[in-house]
Amino acid sequence: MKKRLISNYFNLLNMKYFLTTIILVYSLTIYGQDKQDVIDLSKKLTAKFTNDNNSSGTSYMFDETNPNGFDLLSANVSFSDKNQTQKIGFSPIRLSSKYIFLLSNLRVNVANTSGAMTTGLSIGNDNSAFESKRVQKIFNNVYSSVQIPVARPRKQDETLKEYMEYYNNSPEMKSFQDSLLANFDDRRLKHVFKYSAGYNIQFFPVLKSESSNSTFDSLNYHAVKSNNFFVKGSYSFKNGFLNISGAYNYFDKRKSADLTQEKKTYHGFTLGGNIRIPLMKKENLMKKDFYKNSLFVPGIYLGCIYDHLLYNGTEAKFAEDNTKWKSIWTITADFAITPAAQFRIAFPIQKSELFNSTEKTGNAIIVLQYNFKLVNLSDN
Amino acid sequence: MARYRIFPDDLTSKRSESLDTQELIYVKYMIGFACAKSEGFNIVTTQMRVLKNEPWQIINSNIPSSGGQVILELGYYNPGQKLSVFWVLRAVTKITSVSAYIINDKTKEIKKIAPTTSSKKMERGEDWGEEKIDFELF
Repeated sequence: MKKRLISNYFNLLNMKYFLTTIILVYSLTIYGQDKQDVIDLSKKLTAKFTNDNNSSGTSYMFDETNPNGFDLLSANVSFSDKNQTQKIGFSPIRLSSKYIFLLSNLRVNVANTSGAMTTGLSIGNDNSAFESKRVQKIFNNVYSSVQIPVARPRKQDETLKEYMEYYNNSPEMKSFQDSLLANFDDRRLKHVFKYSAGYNIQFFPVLKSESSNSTFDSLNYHAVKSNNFFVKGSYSFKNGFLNISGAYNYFDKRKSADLTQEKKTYHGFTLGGNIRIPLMKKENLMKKDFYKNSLFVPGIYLGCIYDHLLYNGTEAKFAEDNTKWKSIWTITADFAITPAAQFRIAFPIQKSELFNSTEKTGNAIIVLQYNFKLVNLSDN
Repeated sequence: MARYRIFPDDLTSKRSESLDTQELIYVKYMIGFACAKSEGFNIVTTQMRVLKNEPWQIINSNIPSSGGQVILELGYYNPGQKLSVFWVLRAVTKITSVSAYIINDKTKEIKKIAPTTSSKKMERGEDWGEEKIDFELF
């Protein structure tokens, strides 16, 4: 009997290991398939990357609500003296090779600042997208206006590999192909306009507090901090050599979560610009694979952003930070070394006018921001 | 440039006597390359030959696609004629699917000659070259 029990125990133990192995192998296989699927899907993406530097943010004050660029996926982390902001932007329809006006740039925005969550959706357009009518017109113009050199016939005993070696090393052919692509890209990225509009909802860190006592935790009574609508646009000259951006934000916002607070209207304005100092000569850059694949230009972007937030109320008790208005001048230096990873050092200088005071206050801080993005897996 | 090979091979071996009374049947054929309208490519070269040991002849070189397609004239041939072609196609944009076809101008019939299995996907700047494709005209 004892022997039988021991035998059963070992059988069960073996069965347990067997099942664990099956589950592990299955899980790893599934994981592998998912990963491959993601790579395959991402390979379908056309490299729509343009160096307008939008990925690092075009506003300091409204960074939580305004999406950064139209990249497939971007993750943004910024550190300052008071706040630490994590932000993720995802454009799921970019996984499809089909381009749909406005919808292809549908962006999901999720940000977290000191425990408070912001989440939103936006749509937009980019006139440098390959599928746009403008780019198709440029494509046809470029290709219809070139003098095409003629390839020689392949010799009888020449393999295709040998023939292509001749072709690729032939100076006329090489310069023809390169100049054609360069001409097309130069024209496509000379004047790039992007715009987007969307909605965000911001929550307080404590979403819900309940008790049979109705006065319980009146400090965390409200879950929703604000509703936000925004429109933003940007212009980029010569593949990001010069970039200008602007945005308007409408907020219906509460100062804090306590029971007595009411939502009040705020208007937010942003204007910014930057210029690129290239890290590589154009002749050398055009030979690089990363440029051919993504048109990414390594460089240091020096810029300035002006943000202004205006409280539209008259009562001080509902005003955020007790201010009538505040404005921030932010000096930025962006280091764009690879298409996938970039970082920014920013120096915001804030000024504000308080209620119950005639004085204007000011302070300056430093912000460090990292940005990682997935434009196209095969290119990065 | 159109090529003509319209005298049937079995008659040309007996030279002109047999041709005097022969009614010729020949058709214009084309070779076509097609991808999505929004994508683009350049035909680096397309060349053909009728006989195995003949030198290759250029059908056309460096032809850019327009609206995702390039159609080139192969010439006039008897149905049943065997031909060999090769080409090099360079993707100017990312291409999700591209194929090559032979088109019978009279019947408007179309036959895909490559790729033989699944569709051909290409990265921007990538070349698609076929060493040699043999086929019979229909």
